[in-house]
Amino acid sequence: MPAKPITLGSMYFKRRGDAKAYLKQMLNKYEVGDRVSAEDETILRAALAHHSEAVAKIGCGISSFSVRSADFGSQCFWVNRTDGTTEKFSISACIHSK
Amino acid sequence: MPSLIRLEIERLFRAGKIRFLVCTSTLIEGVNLSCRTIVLRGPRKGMDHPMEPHDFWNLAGRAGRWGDEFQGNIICIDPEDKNAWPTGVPARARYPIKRESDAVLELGDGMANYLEKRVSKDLNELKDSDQYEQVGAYLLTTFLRLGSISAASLSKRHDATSIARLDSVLGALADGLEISASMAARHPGVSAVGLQRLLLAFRAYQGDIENLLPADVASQDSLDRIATIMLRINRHLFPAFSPDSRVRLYALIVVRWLEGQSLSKMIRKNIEWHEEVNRPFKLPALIRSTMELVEQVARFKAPKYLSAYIDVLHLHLRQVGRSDLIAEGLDIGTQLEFGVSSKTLFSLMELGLSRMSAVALYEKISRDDLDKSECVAWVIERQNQLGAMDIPAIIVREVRERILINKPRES
Repeated sequence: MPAKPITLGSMYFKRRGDAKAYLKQMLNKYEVGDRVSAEDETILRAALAHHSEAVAKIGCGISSFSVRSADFGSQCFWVNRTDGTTEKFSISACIHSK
Repeated sequence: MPSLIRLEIERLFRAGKIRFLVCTSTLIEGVNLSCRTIVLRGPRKGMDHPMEPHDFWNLAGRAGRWGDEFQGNIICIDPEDKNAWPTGVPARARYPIKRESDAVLELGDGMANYLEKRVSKDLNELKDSDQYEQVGAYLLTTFLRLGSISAASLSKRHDATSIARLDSVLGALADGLEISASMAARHPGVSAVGLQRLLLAFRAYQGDIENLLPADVASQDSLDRIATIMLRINRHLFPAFSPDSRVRLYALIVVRWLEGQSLSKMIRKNIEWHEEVNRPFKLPALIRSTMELVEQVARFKAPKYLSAYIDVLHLHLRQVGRSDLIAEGLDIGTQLEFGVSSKTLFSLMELGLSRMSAVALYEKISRDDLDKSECVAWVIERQNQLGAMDIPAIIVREVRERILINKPRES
């Protein structure tokens, strides 16, 4: 299978797998309840734009990102919207959609 | 039991409107209630634990109403039954009160051994920590204040060798400490060694410093943030919220309590959860365990250890030049003690309302930011409609008594 590159903000990844690994590493840097840093937020905004349901996830607009707990003791990224709502999203859906 | 209901029962009982009260010892204990006759059959403290003699006699002392009769009756049912009274009906005797610190110190070198290991050992490996941690913390704080425990009055009650050994161990502990005696004294029962370890953990923290602070209770990060803070406390300060697997439950109770949820609502939510995940439960045990969680975690361990966490964090923030992050307003210890996080709730309780009434009124007011005078104004404006607002009668009565009759006078 030929490698499909992907660009997330200022970062270019030759293979999708590399991008996924990068985002996973970013996720594990945080503890649940943390607000994602400004630098990482730039990357996540770009990643979310690639999400298969990007429009729904972004909604009225992104305010920030947090890391909170997900099922079975794991953790995932959540998008905080400008209207106060929030929703989780998976790294895989961002990377492997288009 | 909400204090308002307890007071109402008391009032009705004293007025003779309630002639017979069937209840657990909890109702009688803290309350101004006495009667002509008490009937007992194998009184227990909590589940299954037979009542100790001093508690039995304390309870029995409620028989005989001051001003009404010279003596009271205590009737013990089935006194020969070993199931009812495993230790028999308690005999009359003197029950001296012993200082916990003395009791622990009398256990010999255990205290000194524990203190020696306190700095280096992984907190989860410390054996008998429940027993020794409190007294150890007290001894260390005393040492920090006085320079030696031989100067403290407790040293007169124990032999000189033990005191000398303790002094030397405490001296070694104090040597590594940046924590001041006054900070340690603000957190009784929390070891200064733990406070120091937490400070070091803050310094070693790689993430964004703002993530060390608790989030606004109303925010969506707050539950997870409290959970992570509890894990940090377990790891560096003291394993207060153990095991780690229960931290999510503890955090949930704390957040619900801070949101101003009533006990009945929390119990209802607990029932709903059990039904959702199809987990069987016994209602009395569920009620008891929810209330115990609120008492032991939300109103005891959380204020104790979270205040210490915040105090050390503020020290760290000042040291790294980030005092801008030190929040104004109510400290978390007070918030947890009262179970309030909004200004309105706190104002209502400052006006003298019980938590139950404050929460009921807060739900009608629906505004977070009212001060005392604004709360009073809100009530005055609606004083003739209070009865029609679907608020329980005894709450309306308390609101009238506290807010409408005892209005603070403006000068």
